[in-house]
Amino acid sequence: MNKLIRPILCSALMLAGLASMSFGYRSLDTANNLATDRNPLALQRSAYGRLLARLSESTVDRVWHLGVEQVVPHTHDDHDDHDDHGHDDHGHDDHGHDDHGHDDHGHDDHGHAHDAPVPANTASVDTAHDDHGHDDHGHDDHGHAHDAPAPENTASVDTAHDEHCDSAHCDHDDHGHDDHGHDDHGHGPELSTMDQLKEWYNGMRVVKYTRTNPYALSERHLATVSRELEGMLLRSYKMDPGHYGVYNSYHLFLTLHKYGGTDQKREYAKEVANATIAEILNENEDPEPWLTAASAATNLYQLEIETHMVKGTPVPIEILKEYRGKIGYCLNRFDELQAIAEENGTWANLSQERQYEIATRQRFARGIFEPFDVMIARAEERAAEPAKIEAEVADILDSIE
Amino acid sequence: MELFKLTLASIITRKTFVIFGVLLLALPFVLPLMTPWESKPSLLEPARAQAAWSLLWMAALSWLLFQGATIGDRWSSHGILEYFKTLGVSKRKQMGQLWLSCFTVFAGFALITFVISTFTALPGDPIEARHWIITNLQYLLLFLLVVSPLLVLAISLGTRLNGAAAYAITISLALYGLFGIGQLEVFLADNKHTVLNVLYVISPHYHLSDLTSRLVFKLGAIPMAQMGQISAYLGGLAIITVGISYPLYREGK
Repeated sequence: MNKLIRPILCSALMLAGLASMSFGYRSLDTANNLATDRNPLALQRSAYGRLLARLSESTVDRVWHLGVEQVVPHTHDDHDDHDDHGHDDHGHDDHGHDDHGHDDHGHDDHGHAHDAPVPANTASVDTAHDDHGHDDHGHDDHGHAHDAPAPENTASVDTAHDEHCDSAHCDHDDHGHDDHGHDDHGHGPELSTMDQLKEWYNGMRVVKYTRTNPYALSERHLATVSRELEGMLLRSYKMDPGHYGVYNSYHLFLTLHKYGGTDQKREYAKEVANATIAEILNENEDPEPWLTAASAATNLYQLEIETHMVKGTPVPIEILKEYRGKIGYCLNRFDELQAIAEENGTWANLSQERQYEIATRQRFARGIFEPFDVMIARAEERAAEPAKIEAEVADILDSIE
Repeated sequence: MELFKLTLASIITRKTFVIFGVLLLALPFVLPLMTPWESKPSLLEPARAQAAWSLLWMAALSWLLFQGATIGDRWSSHGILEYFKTLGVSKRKQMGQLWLSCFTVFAGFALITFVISTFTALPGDPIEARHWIITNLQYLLLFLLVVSPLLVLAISLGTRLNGAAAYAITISLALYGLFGIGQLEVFLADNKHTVLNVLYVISPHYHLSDLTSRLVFKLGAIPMAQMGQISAYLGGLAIITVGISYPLYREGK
């Protein structure tokens, strides 16, 4: 009897389990609660996500140098990242394909891509940008190294790169790829044994990445590298949508034709910019993401006025006013939160380098924002002109009569 | 309970649990300091809870399931289970005692995590604090509903296969249920393939027990109705897993 009851009991239990599971599944599925949030262990947008986004910069940087610029990635940024516990983005920024690089291209290259004349307001934006000293990392400059016929040797690629990397912080020039870099650094008598050993490892790393293939990457291969970089940047963006460098680099890859940007992707770039702003709207503590929001608003503005740039028509005053409001709001929020952070001591937690970096970005954003008033005044003048002429004509006609 | 005592003594003698215990205690306080919290100190507390629960998942997937698989394998290979069978300890009781011995140590891990997550990251606002405590309790319940039956499966497979194979199968199932289904959803987004859809339906949706997002983004506790549905699903799945594990268990190899 016992032998009969046990299997029946087991079967009943299994059936009960199945029924319970089915009930739970159906209820969850009906209410759309079954799907995953695609964010296991809440990694994305968490504190660890922010950390991973910062750490990914050196990987992106390395792939960029090896794949797109085809030069040895310099290794100093690794030390920078390490020294600052990965909290700053010097390493990435210094190479120009990050936020600075984007800033360089964000305005110029949209124009070039469509062969559109650059209107006065864009020029003013560029001037504002140049004033901040980011004009020396143009991707076009780097770009022609691989547009050119295949380099005869690695040194020629590096030379081409070096000629255009005239920024003081483009450290990799100093490495001298022919002698694997370590000679440039290792001969200083003041270096300790520890430093010499570290330099030796650096030199070996340069050897590891030095290109000995006499041919440059093909266009198709370059396109693949660009896609890979875009994928890496998307992953980083998901980790921390408010990160200035990551967002701007991702925007760059979505919008520039040179890096695989298409009209469809430009539409997507608008969605990304709006999502970035929406994400940052809830930020009430950290001021820096508001600079990212200001940058996203500026990118939206640039994408919005593209058609006017192509046609050569003036930008409607409504657009100017709308974006003056949006960018201005972001910058004001930055100022407010920075003042609070200074007051409660949070600002002092940041290293001087980070404070300087944020201040530079803030000045740059202000530089873009300030011409809006002038542009709006001009647009208002332009709008008032026909009425003024009509009034003058009417006066003249009256006087004749 | 001799088998329980023997197995527990074996686990304690091996001491690997100490490494995980120390990591579970220390890392939730260390890892948040490695994040860029300087400009946003409010990140620290959710990051602590997130680290605590993530580490508990790691301990479950690595230490707990591995212990179950190897103990099942070892005791079965050495004839210990057959010996206890001759003493009249039934298959069901053997499974229960082996499970309990592994789980006793792991319950300590779960308690460490629960205490760190609940009391060292408790929000100041009383309403938020209430939600925080309830969410942690809900998380603990759902977590145990996933991990406990997987441990039974690891033990049963260990008695039938070797330890490495038993562990590989169990951890693959756990990882698939936690992370793989999200990838399957991507395929299914624009795919009406019947086989894939059936696979999705019969897959173990262990990801439902991952409430880390609710803690990190302070989403509040899950409403009771939904909590009941998730518990019913995972509870049913637990019964089925144990039901499948039972015939897989054997005393001797």
